[in-house]
Amino acid sequence: MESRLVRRALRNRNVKVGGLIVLAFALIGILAPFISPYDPTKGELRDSLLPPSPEHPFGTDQLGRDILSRVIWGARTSLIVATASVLLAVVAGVVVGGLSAYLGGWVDELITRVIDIMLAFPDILLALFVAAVVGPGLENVILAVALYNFPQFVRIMRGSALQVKEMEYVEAARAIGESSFNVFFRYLMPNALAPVIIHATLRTAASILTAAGLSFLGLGVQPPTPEWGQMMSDARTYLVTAPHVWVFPGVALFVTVLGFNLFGDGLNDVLNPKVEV
Amino acid sequence: MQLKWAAVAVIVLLAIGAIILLSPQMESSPTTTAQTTTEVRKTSPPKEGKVLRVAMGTDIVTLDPHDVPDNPSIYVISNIYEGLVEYDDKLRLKPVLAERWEVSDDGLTYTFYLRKGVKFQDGTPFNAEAVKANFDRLFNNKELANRNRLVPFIDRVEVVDEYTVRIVLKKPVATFLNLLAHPAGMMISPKAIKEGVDLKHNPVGTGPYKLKEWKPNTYVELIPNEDYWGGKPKLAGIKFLVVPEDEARVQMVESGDADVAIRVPAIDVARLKANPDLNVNVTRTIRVVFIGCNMRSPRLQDKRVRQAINLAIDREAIVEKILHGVGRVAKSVLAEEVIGFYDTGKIRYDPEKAKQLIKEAGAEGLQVNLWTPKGRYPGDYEAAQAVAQYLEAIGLKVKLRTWEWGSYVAELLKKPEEASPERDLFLIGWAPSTGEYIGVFRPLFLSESIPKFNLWFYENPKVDELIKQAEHAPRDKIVEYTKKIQEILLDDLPAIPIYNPGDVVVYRKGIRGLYYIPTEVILTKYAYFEG
Amino acid sequence: MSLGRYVLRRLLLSIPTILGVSVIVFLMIHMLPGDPAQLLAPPEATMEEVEIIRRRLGLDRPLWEQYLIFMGRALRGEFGESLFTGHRVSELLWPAYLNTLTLSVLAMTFGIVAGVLMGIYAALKPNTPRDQAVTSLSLMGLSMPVFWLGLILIEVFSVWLRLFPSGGSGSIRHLVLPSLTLGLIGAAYVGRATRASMLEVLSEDYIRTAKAYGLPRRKVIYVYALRNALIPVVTVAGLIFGYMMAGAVLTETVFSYPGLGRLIVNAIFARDYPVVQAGILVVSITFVMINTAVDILYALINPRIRLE
Repeated sequence: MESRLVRRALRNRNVKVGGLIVLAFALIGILAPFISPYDPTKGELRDSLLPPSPEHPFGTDQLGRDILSRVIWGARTSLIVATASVLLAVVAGVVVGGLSAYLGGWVDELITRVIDIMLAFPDILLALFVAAVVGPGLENVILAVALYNFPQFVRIMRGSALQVKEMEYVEAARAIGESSFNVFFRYLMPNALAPVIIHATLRTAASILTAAGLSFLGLGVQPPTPEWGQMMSDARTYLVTAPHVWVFPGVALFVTVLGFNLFGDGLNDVLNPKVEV
Repeated sequence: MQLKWAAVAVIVLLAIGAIILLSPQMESSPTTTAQTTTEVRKTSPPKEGKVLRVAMGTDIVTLDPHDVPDNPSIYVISNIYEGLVEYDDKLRLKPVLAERWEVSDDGLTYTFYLRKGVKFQDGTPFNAEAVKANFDRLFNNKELANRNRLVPFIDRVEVVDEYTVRIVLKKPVATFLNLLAHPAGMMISPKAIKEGVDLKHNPVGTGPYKLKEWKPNTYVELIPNEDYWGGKPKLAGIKFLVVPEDEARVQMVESGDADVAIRVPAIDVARLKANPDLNVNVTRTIRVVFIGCNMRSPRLQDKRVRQAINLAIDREAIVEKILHGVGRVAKSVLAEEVIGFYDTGKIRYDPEKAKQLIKEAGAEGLQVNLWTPKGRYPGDYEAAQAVAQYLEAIGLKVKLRTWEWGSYVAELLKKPEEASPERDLFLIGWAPSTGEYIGVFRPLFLSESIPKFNLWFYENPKVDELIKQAEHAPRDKIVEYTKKIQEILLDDLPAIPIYNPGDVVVYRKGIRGLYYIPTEVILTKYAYFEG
Repeated sequence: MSLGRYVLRRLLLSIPTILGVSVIVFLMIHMLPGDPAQLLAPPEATMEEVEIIRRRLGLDRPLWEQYLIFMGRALRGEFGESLFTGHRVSELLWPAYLNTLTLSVLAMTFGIVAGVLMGIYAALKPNTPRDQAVTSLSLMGLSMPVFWLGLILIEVFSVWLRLFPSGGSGSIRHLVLPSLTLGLIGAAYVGRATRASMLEVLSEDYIRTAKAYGLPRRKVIYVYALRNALIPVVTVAGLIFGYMMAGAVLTETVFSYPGLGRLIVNAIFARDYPVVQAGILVVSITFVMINTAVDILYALINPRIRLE
């Protein structure tokens, strides 16, 4: 059944195109040290703001650093932030959401209330707030973005686990005297995961955008670490005189997010033909 | 994703844009577009003259001259208040509320002969008692931020007669008149002081303009003081608009939505100079931007490391590429215009020598922290990044950290024992708002000034002694005293001078009488529209 | 359940959420690094002077007491004074709030009109090039970093064409680019939702029946189908409106528009506690209220909900 799904997924154009972009993004991020033509953090100040040329295909930035190299390394930063923050949120969300559904009662009530309150902070505001509390920096951005994703995964996992909980095989497992621990981790969790995974791909796109947004505001990854949002923020002074400084990181960010969205969208169509967007 | 559809989308957008642009109520004429103008007009009829609209980057903090900590507030305050003396655009002193003065031979007694017929904006007459009331306020009110600019030097203030006042110093201070030119020496209505008026929001001075409204984060509006002693003000008002984004200020002065734009990015200078409607004024400031060295950091103990850092930085490239020519290479801890400046010749770019010094000190691969604020000084954050690159090039490892200004200041002002152990190198600027050496040496390099503005925790008894001597130097021998201090400081290098930022003020053609004082203050009180 | 009771219940349900939000806002502020009393004091202040400032701001009282004072004032629309300018926070807050509201409403109007039109246009001929074009465009919209879109619009409309100012506020012309930026992204979301729900409705039995009865195509689409298709769109639009209130942070930064988002970000940088608290609280409460309103609206147009 699974291989049939894979085949169906591969026939979907969105999955193909999106998957290709995601793959390219991941490869560029992983291989950055080998494919980047220059050191992204070192430049010759006297060669600053050079327009694109064969030597520097994307030109140089305000400190004379090669923009192509910085875009390539920026992929690595985004890859790290997105993967780490989504993984963190998924793990925490699955455990908390699963427990909430499994235990029920006042624990469930309490968790649901807290999650409701967290969801009452719209979107980037929560991440912004966390970033402001813990300060800027790579680890803190991961934390901020993870926290902003967390309540959504709790909610999805809880809903999904509640459905699974009522299924016969779970009840059967409980009936034959499997320990609570086993029931929870062997039956409930794995079978409730599917919607969480679909949501994770979609959230990756949003997470990359949010992390870049934080950096754009100056609350994210700190220089000289190359990061797309921060590159664009730094380039605002050169809006008129040197647009190449902000155009290329923007294209990279846009295409990457588009890739994840296409992929997640296609996957959604394949697995779940009639689900709301 | 077909191109055709993308094209259609773009055309639709353009069409929407065109509709909005062409609809009559939003039409704009080249000179007055913003709704703000019409607002002003309502309160002041156009035949009275025009309102000067000044776009500045940050809101003001206070309107109390004795408590003012920032330049934007000073721009506004200097239209409302006046002092006994003031600076002109070359940092020369000129009489304002004092018509003339005499200094006793021992340099201790200053006698001021006051201008007659001056009234505060609440009708209170200006006289010797008023001057005394202002100094009393400084003496009695310990919370005033600018108190220490004057109080430590003054023994007493005496009223001689209605229009003569005498200030007696504790010790001679060669640059006392310069100290008086600071807003700390501006005169507030004694009635307002006595009645405990909230002077932060309700200024009462003698100046040509008075406050109409301060709308936080939006604008400060001034209207003419019809009873001004110097004659009726030439403008119908002055409106300081708060426009934080650099590009937006530029855009406003280009479109005529503002008459003056303050702190214009250097990168726009060339383009704006080509605009026939604009005057572009590139000015010098007396600010020095330093890379401070924490003298207590174990990583910076070796003098050779600090000297290597001094030699590693291509300051000319920073001025050219980051400041875009708006600014100068700093030659000392004092800027060239500041009284007491001396060029030691120790500022130069010699990376080879720097590498050698690092090697001698055994500091190859040493990891140092470099802190910087962002947007506080022109080019601060970019310059810090450039410095990091230069230091990496001579074999150091640099960890850069960007700070928000408020927390940066709070951290830097901590006592040595409470300061972060990470403090090594940090970018900080200093501009003596009095334009003379005491305003640099005393706060920055005296060991008594730890834990205040001696941010580098620099303690050198020799320097302490020399500074105290220099404070009482005769006016014509100042450099003899300050030369030695600057030589020591540029050898010890607690603070490595990098650049003197310039400032760019852009204003529309037809405006006259706008002055830029190198203490980074734009003086609008004499401005008028031509013709 | 009657409509009245449903509305009441929904309103009551939002109260604990709002209280919870206020507690989190209040506590988070106190987790920020740095001591506000120290920050506020002049550099040469002694320890005693710092203590005086601390007492004046009530920062020396127990947390729960500070919270009660905070909430008591907040209920009267008072949030104390800004630590840095001494202005009353409410004086800073409401103009900024109004600005953000104006921006969001304009952007939302544009987003809904453009999105619904796009959605219908696409849904009428599913899987044709025009549907694909709309679908791709809206997916592009979802993937567009809002600050990048803002920079592009500035480059095109301010720098090249010189049509609109790149930043600031004060006239309608200043609102065009920021609301276009936010609105385009809103349109992408609304467009997708409209398309999906329109497709679903068009395949429902009653529409097919209506068509079979020979009712005019236009009438079927615009009267029966659209009305039902817009029900889920209301939810999406409401959500997006809430996000816009918060997401305006980035747009406001790009265009230096004096809105609430910008006020909050600047206050976070300056650690101006009262301003941050008030700002976040107001945005979150607005968001909760919009959600409540959307739920009620949804119940109004779709009676089935109330029965659940």
